[in-house]
Amino acid sequence: MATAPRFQFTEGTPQYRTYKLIGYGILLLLVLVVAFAYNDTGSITLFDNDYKVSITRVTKAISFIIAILGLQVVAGFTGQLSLGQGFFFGVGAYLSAWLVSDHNWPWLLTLVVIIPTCFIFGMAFGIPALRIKGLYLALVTLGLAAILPSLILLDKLEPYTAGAAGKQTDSDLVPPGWLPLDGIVDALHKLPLVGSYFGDGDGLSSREEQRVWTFFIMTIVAVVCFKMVGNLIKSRPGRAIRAVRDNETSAAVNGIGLAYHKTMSFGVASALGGVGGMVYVAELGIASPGDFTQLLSILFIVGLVVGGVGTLSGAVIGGLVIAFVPDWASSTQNFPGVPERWLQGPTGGLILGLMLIVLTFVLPGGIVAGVRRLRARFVRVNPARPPLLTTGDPTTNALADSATVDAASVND
Amino acid sequence: MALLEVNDIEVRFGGIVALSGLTFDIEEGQICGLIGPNGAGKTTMFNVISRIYDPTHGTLNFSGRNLLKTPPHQIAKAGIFRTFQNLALWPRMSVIENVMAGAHVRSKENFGTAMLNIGRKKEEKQLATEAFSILHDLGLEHVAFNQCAGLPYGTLKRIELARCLIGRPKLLMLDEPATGLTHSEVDLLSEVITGIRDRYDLTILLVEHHMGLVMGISENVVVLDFGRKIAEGLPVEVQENPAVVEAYLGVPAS
Ligand SMILES: Nc1ncnc2c1ncn2[C@@H]1O[C@H](COP(=O)(O)OP(=O)(O)OP(=O)(O)O)[C@@H](O)[C@H]1O
Ligand SMILES: [Mg+2]
Repeated sequence: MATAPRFQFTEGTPQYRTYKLIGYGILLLLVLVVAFAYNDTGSITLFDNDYKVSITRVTKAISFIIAILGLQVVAGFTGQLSLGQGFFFGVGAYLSAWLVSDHNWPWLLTLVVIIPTCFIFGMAFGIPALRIKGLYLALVTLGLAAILPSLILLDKLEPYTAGAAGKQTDSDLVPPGWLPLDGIVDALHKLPLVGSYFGDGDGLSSREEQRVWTFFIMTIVAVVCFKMVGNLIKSRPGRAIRAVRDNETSAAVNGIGLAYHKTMSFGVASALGGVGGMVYVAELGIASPGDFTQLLSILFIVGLVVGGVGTLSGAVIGGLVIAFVPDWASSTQNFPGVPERWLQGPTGGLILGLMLIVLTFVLPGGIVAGVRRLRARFVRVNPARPPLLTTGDPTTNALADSATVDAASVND
Repeated sequence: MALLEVNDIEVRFGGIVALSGLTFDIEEGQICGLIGPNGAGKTTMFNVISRIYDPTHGTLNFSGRNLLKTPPHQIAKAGIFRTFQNLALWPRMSVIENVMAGAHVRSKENFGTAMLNIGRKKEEKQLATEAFSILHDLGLEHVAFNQCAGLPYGTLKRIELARCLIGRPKLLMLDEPATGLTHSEVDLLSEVITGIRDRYDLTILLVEHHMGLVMGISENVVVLDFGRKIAEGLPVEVQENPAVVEAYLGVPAS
């Protein structure tokens, strides 16, 4: 507790709104930069290594982010360790691929099938959680995730899933004619200093336009998901699931139905997993069984922990980490001070594993906890003081007489 | 008719008989003390009423309703709230959120409406106002936005009380509310308990080892020893009962 943070805001004041607006503005700017700067497979060069930052990979990260957001609900906020998120991711991916390529549905419309399907499956999936806890629950859910690839390859399902070859789809995410994506990128290219980062000056090919458009649409999908989960957490059912996580006995004693809240939370989480799967295929254009093994579920857990369990922003960081770090690790062929042969082979998993170990010891709350600690040095947001009930209400003055004396005694 | 009728309750844990043949009534509006030496079965009785433990024998009626046919999470809805001997707050939620969650059975938002933001803000505002007012009344306003972890024990006990009160209980069960309080704080606690009883129209079942507190405010005292009721009556009667003196001092009263 050294010095007080430099900036202090109280919720609800105009200053606080400005502060938040600036935050959202920076995010929006970031989205625009990603959309227009890295639409060509762009890359950053560091120590002679090429680190790819293509927009398609960012869209892939968004799919992971949504899946991890679901894990936040069930594992982070309800305390039920599920290793089955990859299962729903896969189900969402295949459902949307099937509807889009065999029935010509638009991508976003497939959500009306994916969300209820994954929700109901997820609730059923959550039933073991009513009986078993912790590690055992993790193992049971992992088992379910493990059977997905063999399900996809079943002879009976082959007409729908296209078996081992993978289900191809055509993207219909074509930007509307009135949107001058081409013009925007050209205008950005003409900017002084930073212009050279925005494309090569010859506009966008229709393939590139589709990528940018897909990224925009999926960013909006993600924002809607975050808004909804944010609403959930700051509401009666959101407090109820956190109460279940923190102490089941007192949750039940206060009228919170454990079975209902656990299964609902599994349902919401699984629906988000399905949405993530849709985003994944919409970006990649193909759903193949090898992408949805139990390894994916474990990767989601890694993202959850590295980002920060029980925080919404942890899902964003976690998704970015699992989308980029393994790839960047394998792109690292030279690093000062590290013998070259150490950098060969599958370094991605190793780096993720190391991150996990280091974070558990140094920052148990994940990267988000670190960022928050840092931010707390500069900015503090004070909650707005709620009004007190006015007289006439049954609870008013409940303890007015004793409260004055009491107040003194709690201070010590 | 009494508000709570405990009739011939027996609880066994393997070979241990934690309660046996326990019968007593709590009248509406009463403060009923439940005392007894360590391990007598007081907390076990609370857990039976909360439906955490199933009794092996006996019946339990609350305003004419068979509690043993009521699932655990419906107990609060019926109007029974309690505090815990060893605290059972939700440590990763802020103090005010703990209290707001205590109003679970009185509030309405569900997963669908909350996610779609239908009526959520209004309910949040109402609950926050009510929770903050109760915290204010209990002198806890200054910790409202703290995390529970790290607050002093006496404060936490009080937060648990606030969490009960927001549920508007008919029957409030307090398990050793005076633990960890200083002498002067215990005196204040008597005032708080009688105060909330009158203002919230409560019936209170009080487990407490602090004799001054129980005897001072209870209208009826039930004494347990080894799971059996050994005495019941007005505080003065119970205090002079030889069986009670023996149970507490371990020697027959002379
Ligand atoms: N879950 C349980 N499993 C086994 N035995 C238990 C359990 N709960 C309570 N007991 C036993 O039941 C008896 C009564 O315990 P209880 O906690 O009700 O006592 P108490 O009167 O609340 O005591 P204290 O004043 O120490 O809180 C004790 O012998 C205890 O060991
Ligand atoms: Mg006890």
